[in-house]
Amino acid sequence: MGISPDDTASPVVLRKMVYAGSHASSFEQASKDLKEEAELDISTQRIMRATKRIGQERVEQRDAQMDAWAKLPLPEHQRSPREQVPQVACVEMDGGRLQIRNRKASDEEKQRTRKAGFWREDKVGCLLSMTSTVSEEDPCPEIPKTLVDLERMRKISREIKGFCVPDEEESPRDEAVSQRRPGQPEVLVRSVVATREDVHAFGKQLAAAAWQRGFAAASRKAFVADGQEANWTVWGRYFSHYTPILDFIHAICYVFAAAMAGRPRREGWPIYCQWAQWVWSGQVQRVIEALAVRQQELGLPTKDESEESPRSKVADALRYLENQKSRMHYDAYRRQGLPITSSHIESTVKQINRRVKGTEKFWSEGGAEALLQLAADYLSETNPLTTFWKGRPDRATGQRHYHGAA
Amino acid sequence: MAISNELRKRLEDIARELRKNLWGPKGYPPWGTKFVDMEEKTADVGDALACALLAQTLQEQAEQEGHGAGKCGGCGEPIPLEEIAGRLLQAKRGEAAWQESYGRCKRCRKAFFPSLPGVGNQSG
Repeated sequence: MGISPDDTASPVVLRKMVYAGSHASSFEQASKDLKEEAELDISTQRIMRATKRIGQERVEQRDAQMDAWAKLPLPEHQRSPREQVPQVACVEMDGGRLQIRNRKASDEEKQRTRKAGFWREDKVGCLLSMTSTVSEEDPCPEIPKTLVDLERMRKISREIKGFCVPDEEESPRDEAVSQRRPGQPEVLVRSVVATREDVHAFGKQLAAAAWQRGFAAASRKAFVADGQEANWTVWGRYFSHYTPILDFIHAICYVFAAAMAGRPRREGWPIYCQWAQWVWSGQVQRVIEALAVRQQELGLPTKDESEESPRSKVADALRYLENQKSRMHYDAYRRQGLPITSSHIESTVKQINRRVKGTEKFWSEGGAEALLQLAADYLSETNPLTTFWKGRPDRATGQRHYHGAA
Repeated sequence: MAISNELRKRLEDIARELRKNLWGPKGYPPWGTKFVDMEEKTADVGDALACALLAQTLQEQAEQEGHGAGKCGGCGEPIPLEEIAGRLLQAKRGEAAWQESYGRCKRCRKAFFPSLPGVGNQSG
């Protein structure tokens, strides 16, 4: 019949419960949504349990697929399991935040919570099949106006890196409208991976998912992320045959902060524009040299110096660019039709955060993992849940475990 | 699911009868009754009918087909389906309640419900 002995809702209702539980701002809201929109009177607790159970079933499936991939001989990892192979395969990764409160926390966990609170990181990855053309000339040699707009840069820097550049005078504002840059690859299909597991397990999940999408056989492959070490650990371990690309926006946020540090706007702004253009053109070494001169002018930061001091900001940018320069050949990436920003993963993390992140939201480890999996599934344009729901009745065994009386 | 013309005609006949139960001998409510009230009442009848259809179907199927001996999906031992369990399921149009037989495999410590693949009727 395709239902388990423990099911308390029909497959159609269960599907609605899980959808509501994964999308509403809370399980309580999901209960209200179902009442209003589907005329189903289902308690908050039931929705929570159903969402967790289905999420766990998906986690089990994901892990089984990952294990099957890991057992394949290595040459198989370089082949595609499907005929359709993307023209450009792009993997992006980043982290989100959520609060974990374990009822049965270990001493180590309790100590960690005392120090850092309940906030923990989740890992999110995007797999994007893309289409683009390869060109001999850089299709967009000049940095887009939107990235040399002072107000916009202030906003981006504040949002992404928390950098504040004081607004000491009114700035004339050019109308910088976001528009598609020439040669920018077009996204065809996005799928998403999200987990609370550590970066190594996440890397494996991401690699298995990329393989399933046929990414291994793509002729052009890119791995785009910000400068966090964990990202490049995953790249080195699982995606070393992908072109590593540092997110351009993160790079210019550092450049912006360093160019403006200790200078009035009318002096700092033209310097930023020049440096940003150099970075855009793949001439990061010129920026590094200019930053080194600036550091000499200002001096090195002292041990206890504030992160906000001009010396610290210049030192930060210098260190960041030195560490990342091998992933900053943006002119070459554009010629190859590869993406240069991690905007897709940034927006995906925001979409997931909308459900899981909040000062009032606390998750158990199991609940968080289940919900992250479902959130990733719903955001995936490969529709993994359609296949899951279709196959679920066949997996119902009709068995219920029972415990004998003591 | 497409409804055949024959079934649709039968449903229309049933609806004609039900209108009298719902609104009285005239088969319609007093003039001035709000549309929203008519919609609510008729939808409730539709939901109740859907639930009755589902529950009766499940009950009848369980009674007719679900009392044979089963076979444990774990160890393969035959299991007599001697016990009755009440099932209650939240369905799309309300709750469906029915009873069905089940058996226990003492070796595997599992209960088996017959109208599922591997045990009893496999057409469900």
